[in-house]
Order: sequence, then structure tokens, then C-alpha cells
Amino acid sequence: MAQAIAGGDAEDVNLGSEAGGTAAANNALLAPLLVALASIGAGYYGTLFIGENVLQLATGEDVVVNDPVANVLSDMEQGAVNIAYDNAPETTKQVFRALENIGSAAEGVIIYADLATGQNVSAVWGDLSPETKIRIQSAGALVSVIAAPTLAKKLSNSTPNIKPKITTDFNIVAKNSAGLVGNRLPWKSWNEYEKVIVNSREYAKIDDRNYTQHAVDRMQPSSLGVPAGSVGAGRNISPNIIEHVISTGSSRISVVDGVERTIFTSGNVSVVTEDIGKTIITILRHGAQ
Amino acid sequence: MIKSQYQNIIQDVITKCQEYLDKKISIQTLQAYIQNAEQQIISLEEKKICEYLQNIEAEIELILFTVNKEDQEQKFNSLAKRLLKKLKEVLSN
Repeated sequence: MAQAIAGGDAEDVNLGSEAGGTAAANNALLAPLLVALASIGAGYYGTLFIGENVLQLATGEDVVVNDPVANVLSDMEQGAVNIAYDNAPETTKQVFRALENIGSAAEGVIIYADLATGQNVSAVWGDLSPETKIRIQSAGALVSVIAAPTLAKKLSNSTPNIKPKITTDFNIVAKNSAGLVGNRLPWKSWNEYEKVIVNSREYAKIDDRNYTQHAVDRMQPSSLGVPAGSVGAGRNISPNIIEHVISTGSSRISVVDGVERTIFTSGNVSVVTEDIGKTIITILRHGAQ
Repeated sequence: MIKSQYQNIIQDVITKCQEYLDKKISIQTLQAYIQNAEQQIISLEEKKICEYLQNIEAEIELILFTVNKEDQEQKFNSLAKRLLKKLKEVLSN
């Protein structure tokens, strides 16, 4: 259903929601926000997710944002805006009330946690039965709202208690975004990357860095399931995020069985490397501290 | 205190924790169970336990790749006991 609005890949939109939710958890005091932009005509898709004053492009596509969220929404005529309110039950209730209050609530697509199956489910708000709406509301099960830009703007305007936080948060992000956008790195599975052999070991070559298969598997979108030969689903971390963590994060050194490894950390992501970042060994995504 | 709606999932992790401490499964198997559990706990009200599991999973991964082999078992045992205690507290609430 998200696809109907976005005109893009619904799975990507859902993926953005998951990634944003995790990043947003870095700051429980703000209403965390994820905006996924998709355009039918221009054919671009970009996920902007926010945490600790950082704007990161999950897909690597170039989406330059220099204005507050309201302006961005105003400039969008097509596409979808995915607003994830996470870790804030009160905010969730406000969003529900706002959905009911604005005239075009029925157009909005929500993603909610289906308590029966444990899976995230998307549905058009207007198509849900009153009983289902009440059940979702009482459980605080809303994960995110996907809406056309016009509806997203209405939603933003109709939730005055949330809007200033969103605007402030987005301003901070915009201010800090210079230099983070514009360089696209491919985010693929292990089999799709070019390989290099170093000291008899095979690595995926992404830009100037060599990635182990373990690292690539752990970077995969969790929605794709468990990569073949791996023991767990991926952690939704793109090569762009790895670049950002290595270039801006804190670092510490650990010597493991005689081999020096550097661990870079930024926000809730850590990257374990050898050769001071040249070789990516594994990645970690922490929960909120 | 409201009971967790994910009691079966939490109980499964408790069982796997104990199996790890009894040396019946590897730390990687326990890690996979923890990650799987964390991804099933999606209710906003239970975000804390989800994040706790995410941190434990990350801690296991960090130990695997940044701690000398001979020192790992002690750290894993300590971590598994901590997780076991925490999850039992969650279930007893």
C-alpha cells in the first residue's frame, strides 16, 4: 500500500522505517523523525535518518536538505513521507488524534505492529475497522505513518506539540548535513560486490575499503531475512553509514590475538576494522544506552 | 506493572541462555536467538527490553572480534548470567 503512494519500492519504505526507528532511539527526549523521500518522476529514492545531529543517506542517493521539514514537504509534489514516531507513546496518541482530526486522514498509510503475528503491517487508515483502530491505539502499536507530502504537512501542522521538535531536529540535521551527502556507495549483498584477495582472504571492495563477508552480511537490510550462511538478519547499515562512522566517530584500539583492531563508534553504530579502517571486520548496532 | 506480551519469546531466550551456560549450544547460537527475539519485540511499550537485547547482541559481537580467544569464555559466561538475571526479572514482573 505504501507503494501506491510512494510510487516506489514499498519494501524500501518499510526498511527506512526500521532504520530510522533505531537511529532515532538515540534521543528519547525528542520525537524521533524519519523522513523517507521518494519521487516517481525523478526516479530518486533516499532515506534520511536522524540521530545525534547527523543526517545519513541509507541508500546512498543524493538528497540535499537545507530547509526545515515543512519547507521540504512544501517542495514535494509527488512521493511519500514516512514519519516514524518511536519511543513516544504520547506522541503516538497525538498522531492518531491528528489523523482523525484532519479531513484527509483516510488517505494515510500506517505501519503498525500486529500483535497477533508480531509483524509490522501496513494499512490505509481509512480502511481499518473502528475496532482495529481502537486496538492499535490502546496498544500504542503505531510504528510509522506514510503519507503523501500534502497530508504529511497537514499532520505536522495539526500536531503543534510535536512540530517544533520536528522542525528543530530537522534544522539541526540540515545544518550538519554539508559534507555528508553527495557520495553514493552501493549497498548490495555479498555476491554482488567486486572482490579482492588480500593475504589469501577474499573481501568485497566498496570504495577504498575491503569488507569481510561477515561484515557485509551484518550490514544487510533486516527485512531481507538471514543471508545465506549467516546466523542472523542484517542490521540495516549501509556503506555510507560505515564511511560516516569511520570519518567522524570516536576510535579505540584493541589487540586481538596479536592483531591490532580499531573500533570506530558514532551514535549507536560501531565498526570493527583492521589497518585503521582499511579493512572492515564487523559492524554492531547498539540499542539506546 | 503490566506483564510482557512477549513472555514466550523471553522464555525462549532464558532457555537458550541456560543451555549456553550448560555448554549445550555455542555463543553464536545464543547470539542468533537474542537477535531473533529482539526483532520480534516491536511493541513500543517494550522498547526497553528490545534495546537491552540489542545491546547484549552487540556486546557478544564485540567480544568475538576484539577480545583474545582465551579471555572470551569468561566474558561470555558473565554476560549470559547477566542476561539470564535480567530476563527472569522481566518475566517475574
